[in-house]
Formats: sequence, structure tokens, C-alpha cells
Amino acid sequence: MKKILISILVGALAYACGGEEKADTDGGDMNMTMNTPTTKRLPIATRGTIQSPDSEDANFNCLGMKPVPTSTAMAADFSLEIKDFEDDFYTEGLRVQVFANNKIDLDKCEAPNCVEGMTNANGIVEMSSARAVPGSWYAYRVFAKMGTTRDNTAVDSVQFNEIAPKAGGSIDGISVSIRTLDLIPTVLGFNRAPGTSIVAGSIVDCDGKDVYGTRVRMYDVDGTEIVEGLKQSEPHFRYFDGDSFPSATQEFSHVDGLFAGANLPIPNGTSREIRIDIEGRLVGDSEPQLLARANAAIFPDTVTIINLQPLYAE
Amino acid sequence: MNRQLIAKLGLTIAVITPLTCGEDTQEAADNFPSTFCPGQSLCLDEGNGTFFAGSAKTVITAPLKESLTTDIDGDAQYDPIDGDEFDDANANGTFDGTWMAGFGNARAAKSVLDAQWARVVALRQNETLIVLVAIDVVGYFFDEVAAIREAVSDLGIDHLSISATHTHEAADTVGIWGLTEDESGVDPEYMAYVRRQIETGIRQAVANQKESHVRRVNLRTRDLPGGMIQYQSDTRDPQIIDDEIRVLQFIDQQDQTIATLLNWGSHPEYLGDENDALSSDFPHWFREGIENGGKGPGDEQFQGVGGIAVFVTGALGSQIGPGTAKLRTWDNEPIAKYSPIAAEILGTQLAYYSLKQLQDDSVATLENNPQLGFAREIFFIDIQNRAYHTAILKKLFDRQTYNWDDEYTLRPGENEPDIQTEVAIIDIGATQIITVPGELDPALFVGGYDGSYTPKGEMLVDTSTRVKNPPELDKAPAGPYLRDLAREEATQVMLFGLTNDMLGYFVPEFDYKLHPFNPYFDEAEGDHYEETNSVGIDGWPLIKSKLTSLLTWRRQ
Repeated sequence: MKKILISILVGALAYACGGEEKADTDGGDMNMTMNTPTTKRLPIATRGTIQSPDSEDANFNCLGMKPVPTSTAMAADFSLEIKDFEDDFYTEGLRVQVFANNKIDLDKCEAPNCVEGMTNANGIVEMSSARAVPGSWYAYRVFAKMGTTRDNTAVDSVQFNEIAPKAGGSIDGISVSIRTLDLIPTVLGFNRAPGTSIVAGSIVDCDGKDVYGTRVRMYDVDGTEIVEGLKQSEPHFRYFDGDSFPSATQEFSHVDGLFAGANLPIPNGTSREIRIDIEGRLVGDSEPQLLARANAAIFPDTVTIINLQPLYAE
Repeated sequence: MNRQLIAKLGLTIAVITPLTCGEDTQEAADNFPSTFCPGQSLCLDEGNGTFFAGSAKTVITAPLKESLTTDIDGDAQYDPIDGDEFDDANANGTFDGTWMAGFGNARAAKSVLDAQWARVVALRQNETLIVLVAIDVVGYFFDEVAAIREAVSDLGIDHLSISATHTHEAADTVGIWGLTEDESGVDPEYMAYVRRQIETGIRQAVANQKESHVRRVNLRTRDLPGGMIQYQSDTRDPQIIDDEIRVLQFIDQQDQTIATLLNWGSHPEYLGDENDALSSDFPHWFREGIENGGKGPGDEQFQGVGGIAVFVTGALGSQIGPGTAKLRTWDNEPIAKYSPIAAEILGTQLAYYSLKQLQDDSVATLENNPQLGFAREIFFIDIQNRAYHTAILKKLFDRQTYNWDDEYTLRPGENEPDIQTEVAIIDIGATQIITVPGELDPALFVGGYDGSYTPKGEMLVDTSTRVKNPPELDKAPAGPYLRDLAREEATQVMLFGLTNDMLGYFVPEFDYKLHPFNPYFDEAEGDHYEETNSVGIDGWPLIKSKLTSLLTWRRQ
């Protein structure tokens, strides 16, 4: 604040003495009052189109009723097709690890819990000895690759709570380019802080449809909330615009159900276990309630992707 | 800090400023324009009124670096997914190209078709010294202009004006045309070179000033063979084109041309987006024809007038260029657009017709000792464009921002940056120049909503197709337009676009439409590209208000 005040006065004097004149203040946006993290009241959780986001109620009739998918180590071969998060291109030579127990181990990948492979030119990794049981949760990690061009460059990314297909099936996975890692925060109005993590995901209802009107909150596993900051380098939670593009102004999930948390610190510099809660209002004047919850690990300079289902029975 | 407090600070500045340098009470009372000449305390009008002009030109062509060796689809853009390959000359694994500006990303220059220049005219009368520079680049930020003003501050220049011709065929000087959308295309070493070359040109032009008089003429492409559409087109409705070509020749006492100032508005992109040879586009041929002549109709060789030709781009926004133009050779054969021959034929024809009129005593006018003066205003403008926010955060735009706290999150409407920019008016006798820091929609300059500036045979608004968000002409302003606000005595009113800054497009308020959900990143339905490349919805109204006030200034 003081810096601005001084620069205005110095500028005025420089102009007045015949030096390079400085601007007048017409049109300047000088309102330096920082907004606080959103406390805006949520709408009723709905689904619809970008033009009509509340065309139908979200279906949360299964809330708290479905059993948690298992994460056991049983054989089920499948292939994973890795595409770029933003532009759907394939990157050859990406190292990928699949974890049947839905937990990322940074140090080792050992059978039967973990298998490893490399993407071919079509982004395919054949997980011929993958051990995730069909219908169970698994996690995978795509390792960073520093190439000379965008199409052969990727940053570290992990994804949790993916559902394993039937034996022989094929599923989609995601890689993230360094451009995406940096671009998403700047579109949202801040620069990525090196050494921090980004979490991105979506929320669907019991019909698997994206939900409008929800709010994401993140916590340490001990329940300490990761609080939204005001400074660029602090944590921020944002939503997308309903058309899968990050929005600096959207204050709850749009019809794409997408959310992101960025600049999440990793105090020990290695990893951090967090809990992700999705809240929303289902009826009338009710208070927001918990609609979905998941745990995930986050890592420095890494994107963690997690798509949330309605609360499970446990 | 709230707006009320800032408003108070602004008031404080207004009071302090004139007192500090002892400027007169009239300035203290009005403080507008903040800088003008002659008449301000540091720019008196003492002398015999003799008018002097000098000129110079210096090359600013960018050096060639790495280029494509394989271009699978021949689009001149590096696309590794297509299988394109490049010559990694320095073996660093990165494509270090000379990135060409104006169209898409990753267009690396492979050769030089013609040189790019800084062309300078220095004008002096009594204690007023004005220097006009035109450079063959896509755009040039105010911060660069300020740096050059500082570098030549010893010359006592009262007003330095630097205009970008907006060629789409030269090296990136703005930052958004690099290898990818998030990598700057600007080479800092090249920018430093351009600054040095401009400075050299300015010093030469100021040093070689001679007593001069001027000759001026205006002509219109509507009056040339084929009409407007043979030379320029408007691809955004309403189709309104400022088709006037303005020529101002500076002549010494020996009747030799010192310089010829040329002003016309059409995007210099007649070489197209698949060209990989650095070029000034049609302005090269326009200037070449004016200086040295060329081949006219029927293979007639026409003579140039010598001196240094300086082309300054006019009102070319929304969206004046080769788009639907129907270029033809002297033999009336159609020419394929987006080719070297298109740029050559257009530039040569403009030169031929301009010289023909300039040398016709029945239409050209002479003026001895034209009265020289200027007024300018520097001000802050709010950057509302969220894509520009990204460019600022990623430092693709290498320029100073103001009035926000960059330690905190950039939030639209709450904590978003301003930049400094400038508008000016310049008097050279019966010529008045209006400078704008971007790409002006011609309608903002001339009006034309009655169809009077629409190419013959074209529709003002094409109603044959159902385009979303069409211009609602019943909401168009009735005037006066910028051109109408010029001095009554001005028989020639030039519009210098992209001058002393590059702020993107200026679109009339009534037709400014933003995408409802993702403004600035996405276009509103219909023809609304220009809004995504503008400073924001409040940008033009602020600039218009500054210019409107400035145009009330009269040289004393």
C-alpha cells in the first residue's frame, strides 16, 4: 500500500519537473481491498447445461448407501490409455505405475500391488499383470518427462479412486503438461508456487452426472482445514466455468462439476495426506451438507486428480 | 486503499504539479492537456517560425535463428504432433526460432523477404521539436517508447511518437506469438537492438534537419480502379472502411524530398499466415514506390520522389485487411491473396496513385512554415481482459503494471492491474494527426453507419446469413466521430494507429459483446473476435474521453 502511495507521488513530481510524465489516475483500478475467501451461500445442488444449470435436481438418493469399492490385489489385466489433460494428445515414453491398493508409493513398485509400464506412440500402457480387481479402486502415477516440446513433456501426476475395468478392458488416464500445470493457476489469477501441489477433480451425483452448486474444502487428515489465502503464493480453491475452463470468478462448481485447489503446501517437501470434502445444499433453506469425501496424497510440483462420488456407506 | 482515498491523492497531484515548475495559472486551473507545445513553460514559441524537417531510416530486421526442416502440412507453424521437425542448430533440444507475430504461435522465420525499418521524421519550429517514428513490427509497448524517450532525452525532443505498422510478417515484439501460447516470442536481445536502431535513427533525423515546406494530398481507394474492395476489405459487420490515403511530403529549399509521410489503414498481412519470410508486407512496396518508383499500368515505369517514405498505419481494427479484398494486377488479372505478389502489387499501386495525386497541382496543396504543435495525455487504463491477466502473470507482456498489489491474487474487478498508455494530437499546419494506442475500428474515426464508407456492392450489414449478436445499428452513435472533432482548418486528418502502445482492438461500445461465461478467453457468438483481444469493455470509452478532451486543445 505504501509502495503504491510513494510511486504515485514520485511520479507526480517527476512529471512536474519536466521529466517523463506519469499517468493521471483516471480509470485506474485502485481498489486494493482484497476479497476474502468465498462465503457465498450455495444454490441447491443441481445439474443441467451451461445455459440452464438448474434444469433438474441433482440425484443424491444414494447418499451414504453404496459400499466403498474394494481395493484388493487380485489379477485383472487391462490397458491404460494416457492422454494429455488439456489437448488429448499422446506422449510416448511416459513411465506409468498402477497401484491396486489405491495408494501411491513414491519409493517402490512391487508386485502384486504395483505394476509399471511405458506408453507407446498411442499413449497405451499394457498392464498385463495389473492386480486391481474389476470394480475396485486403483491409483496410478505418471512420471515427469522433460522433453524438448510440449507433446513430449509431462509433469508428475497421480490419480486416485479410479475404477478398475473387467479383465482385458481399456480405460483412460491422464497426463499433464508443464504448460497446463502453470497455465491453470495464471488463468485463475495467480502464479503457481514452486514446490506446492495442485488438486483437480469433479463431483458427480448418483446418476454419474456432474453437479452444479457444490463447494470443495480440503483438510489434513487430522481435520485441520487448508484455508484459502489472499496472496498469490497461498492456497486457492477455484471452479471451472461450466465448459471445463478454469474460472477466476465462479464461486461454486458449475455444470461441469470441476474444482481445483492450487498452491497447496507440502510442509515436509515429500508428500501430504489430505481429505477432500464436497458440500452442497439439497433442499430449501437447509445448511450445506457433506455430499462426497475422499482421501488422497499430494506431492510437490504434482497434479493430483480425483473424481468424487456421493458419500459411500462408510 | 479505497477509491475515495485515491481520488484524493489524484487531486493532490493535480495541485502539486503546476506549482512545482511554476507553470502558468491557466495550466493550474485546467491541467489539461498535461503536456502540450508550444505554449507550456518549458516549450515557448520564440523564434522566426521557420519550419525544419529531417529524416532517417535504420534497419531493424531480426536475425534468423532456428527454423523448420520438415513442415508436413506446409502451414509454416511448428506442430510436432504432425511430425514437423526443426533444425536444432545449437543442439540444446529446444526450438529457438525467430517467432513471427500476428497470426498463430510457433511460426519461425526462415528467410528475409525484405528489410524491416525504423523510419524517422524530425520536425522543428521555434522551440518545438517533434519526432515521428514508424517501425515495421506488430506492436510496441508504451514502456519501450518511454525507454527510448529517456535514451534521447539529451536531444530536447518535446514529443516522440513511435508507431508500429502492425506487420504480421515480422518478429514478435509483444510476447504472445512464441513457440507455445505460454512462452514469449520476444527475444530481449532483439528488443534492445530495435531500441538502439530507433535511437540511432532519431539522432540522425534530428541532426540533418533542413528548412522545409510541405505538400499534401488525400485520395481514396473508392476513387481508384476497382474501388475500395480491390485494395482493402472489412470482414466484421458493419462494413465500414476509412479508405482515405493521406500523403504529406516534406520538401527542402532545393525542392528535394526529405520525407513523405503516408497514412492508410489495412492490416499488413497480405503475405498471409503461411509465410515464413520476414517482411514489412505491403508497406515495403508502398514506400519503395514512393521513394524509387516502380512499374505502373501498361508496364509504364513511374518515378519516385526520393527522400525517405514513412508509412504509418491507420484505422485497421474490426477488421480491415486483405480478407475479402479482390486484388488485381495492372492488367486487371485477379491475384491470389496471401502471397508476395499480393503485397507487391498492392503497395506499388498505392504508391503509383499517391504520387499521381501528389504531383497534380490541381489537387495537392503546398504550405510554407506550417504551424507545429502537439498535445498529449498519459494515463492509466484498467486491464479487464482475463487473457491479458494471464499474459501479465506469466510475464508474456514485458511491461510495468500499476495500481494493484501483485503479491495478492489477481481478481477481476477487485485487484487487477492498470498499465500506462498515451494519446496525442499533432499539428503540422493544415494536417492534424490523432494518435491512438491500438487498432481502431474505422467507424470510431469516420462514422459511416449510413453506408457512406461501405465498399460499393457490399452490404453494410450482411442480413443474408443469421449471425448471432449482429451489430444493432439503431444503437450506433450518431457522432460526432473522432474525425469530426479535428480542427476545422485541418484539410488533412491522419489517424496514427498502434502509436506509442499496443492495446489490441478498440471496438464501438454498442457492438462490444463478451462471451457470457468465459469472457475474453472465448468469443461471444457471432463476429466478436476483436473483444477477446482488447484491454476490456471500459478501455475504448476511457481513451475516447481522453481524445475528445485533447481535441479541444488549440495551438496558441
